Amino acid sequence: MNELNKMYQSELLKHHQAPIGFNQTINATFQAFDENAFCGDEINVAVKCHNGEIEQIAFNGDSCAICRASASIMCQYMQNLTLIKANITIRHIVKTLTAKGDLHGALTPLNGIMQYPVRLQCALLPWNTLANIVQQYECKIEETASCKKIG
Amino acid sequence: MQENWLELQAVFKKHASYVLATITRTQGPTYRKPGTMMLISAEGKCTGLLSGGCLEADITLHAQEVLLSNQTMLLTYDLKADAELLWGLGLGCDGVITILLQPLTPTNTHLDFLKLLSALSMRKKGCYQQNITDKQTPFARFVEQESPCLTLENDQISIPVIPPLSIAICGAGPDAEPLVNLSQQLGWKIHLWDHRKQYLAQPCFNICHHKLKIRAEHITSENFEGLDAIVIMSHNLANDSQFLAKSLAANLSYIGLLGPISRRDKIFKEHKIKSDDVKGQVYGPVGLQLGGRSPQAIALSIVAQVQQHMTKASLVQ
Repeated sequence: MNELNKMYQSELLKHHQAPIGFNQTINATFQAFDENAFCGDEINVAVKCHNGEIEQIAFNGDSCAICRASASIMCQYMQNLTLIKANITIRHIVKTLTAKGDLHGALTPLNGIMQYPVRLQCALLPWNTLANIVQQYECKIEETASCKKIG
Repeated sequence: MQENWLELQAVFKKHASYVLATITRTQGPTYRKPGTMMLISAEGKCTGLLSGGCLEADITLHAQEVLLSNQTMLLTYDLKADAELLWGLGLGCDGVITILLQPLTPTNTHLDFLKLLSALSMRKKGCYQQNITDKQTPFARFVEQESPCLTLENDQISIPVIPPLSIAICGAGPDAEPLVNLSQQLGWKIHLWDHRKQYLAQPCFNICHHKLKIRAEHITSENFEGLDAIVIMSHNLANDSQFLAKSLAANLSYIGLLGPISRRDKIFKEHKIKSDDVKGQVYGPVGLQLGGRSPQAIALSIVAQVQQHMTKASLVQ
């Protein structure tokens, strides 16, 4: 294993051992559940929103170390982002990891996933679950807009 | 440790492309050892096993890249302590394993792999020599050899290729079914002999490679060609006596005789055989003492003994 991969591994381990947002109780505005049948990961993601911005984000569930570390990075990174910006970020992460590109900043440890492609789905699960929440948010916005028009 | 060559022969198609995954190096405890090979089809179907966990799924994803690039790839799975906790790839044995991936395509004449399989069909031994490189043009060749052994030097691994164990089972009674099933699972070539057509025709014996309707008295030395082991279980004293005498004349490495000691001694007496003279060759009562009584348990004890005997024989060689 090269030095870079060792560094990624060390960072992922830190997140796995002390996950950010794990089992944290929040007054959630939106929640979503998803699972990875291949690995057995199950995750619930909860988001507290205010004015379209992620005020708090947390997760729980039974999952493998990679899924948990990835979810922890997500909670760290997504705090205070708007859901619109979150959606762009999720798309960027999914696209980059799938294409074996490079992620930067706080997302850097996720680059370690590329050495074991079979773990990609585990790493993406929290992000895809959050994408469901963004969809819920967008639906709610559309509903609100429709109601206003009808009203 | 030998591959299940019969399984590989069954799946290999000369117009198809594959990736051959070979363990070239291990450190610490690992499920399988250097020289173990696995064939991955272009569709991602694996034949063989390199680990006891889900390493295969990851290797299969890398194999797709190998087929696209047409170059070798060297993978190292370092699954000691923290790494295994994190990646959980299922090695679970605190070891490091290095795997060489090589594309086998009609264009590169499958790197002699078809030649290897053909040699096995003719019960020829040899070595499969592979260059251990990363991101290079693949290279491997099959060389016929009488006493092949595993070597690893100068970035080349030479893997012994030995034909699968060939076993004859004399008697197609109901107790032969579990023995045939277990032998098949172990990748052995099964020859089933019986003089009763109806017994041989049972669907459970369709997995045998060769079924022969023959009476014990008509067996000749030709019938023993290419055989490594025989299990005599016709349940007929006169037949078993003939099978034993002819197996000894053919000097088979392993001869198993079903039945109690008193029955064995009757046959020995008839042929003036002394127990000590055939020790380590004739096993009667056949099978290791594992403690079971059912036909399945007896079959297990027989295949375990055959495995033990053949491993010892190959170590002596």
